[in-house]
Amino acid sequence: MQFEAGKIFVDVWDVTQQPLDAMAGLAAVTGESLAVRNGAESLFVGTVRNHNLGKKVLGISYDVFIPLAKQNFTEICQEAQAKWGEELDFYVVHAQGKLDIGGVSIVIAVGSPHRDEAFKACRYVIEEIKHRSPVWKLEHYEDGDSEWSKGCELCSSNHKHEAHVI
Amino acid sequence: MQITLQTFGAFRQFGQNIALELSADAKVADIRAPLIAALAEFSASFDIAGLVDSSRFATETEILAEDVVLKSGSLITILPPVSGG
Repeated sequence: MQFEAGKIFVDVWDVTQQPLDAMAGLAAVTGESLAVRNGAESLFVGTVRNHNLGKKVLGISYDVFIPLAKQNFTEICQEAQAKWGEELDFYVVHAQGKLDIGGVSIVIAVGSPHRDEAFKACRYVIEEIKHRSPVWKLEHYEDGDSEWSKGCELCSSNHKHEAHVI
Repeated sequence: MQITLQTFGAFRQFGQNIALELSADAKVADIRAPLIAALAEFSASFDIAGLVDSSRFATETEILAEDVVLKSGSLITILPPVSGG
């Protein structure tokens, strides 16, 4: 995949059909033509760990409201561009479906002319996704039990909607 | 009016969709009480009211403010607290 400066690619992949690929994310923001302009690429990879809150975890199923999630990922990347540079390139892919321990749940890659912006923008995107994106984790435990993560409560829209009927 | 609630996360256990009957001029905030009532049979083993109170409502493109007026036949999605990444 190759794209022009300041491009944003976001997607949600069913991991039973298509596992996430960290190096593909990195390649997306270090295209040959971009490498001349970009001097820094940061990569964040989220994986399933074998424990949470004292319980042994065997895997996690990810539930995603895909249309809103993709829009939300795009908005978060646009916010990062507004903060750290419109020329920054973003690649965000989130997993949907069941992953075993070590499975890749999210890949975020950011390409930037300079390292400071690359690190900061990448950190911003993962933190905002964790707090704002419509994604839910069902943890599968060693004892056969499963439980939905408690999660972060969403804020309702700040926009005024008095005249808005849906 | 009737609306259909699409479920995610912890609400999945109650079905893919939940049909709710609301008053004709219902707003987003008015979804909560009938939803809690509709799920009352599960409340002995589960804090339904707590989960509903901490949830937000959305379309495919936006999270809805509490005062948005609903339209009959709408498909609304309930978003319990999130845990992506």
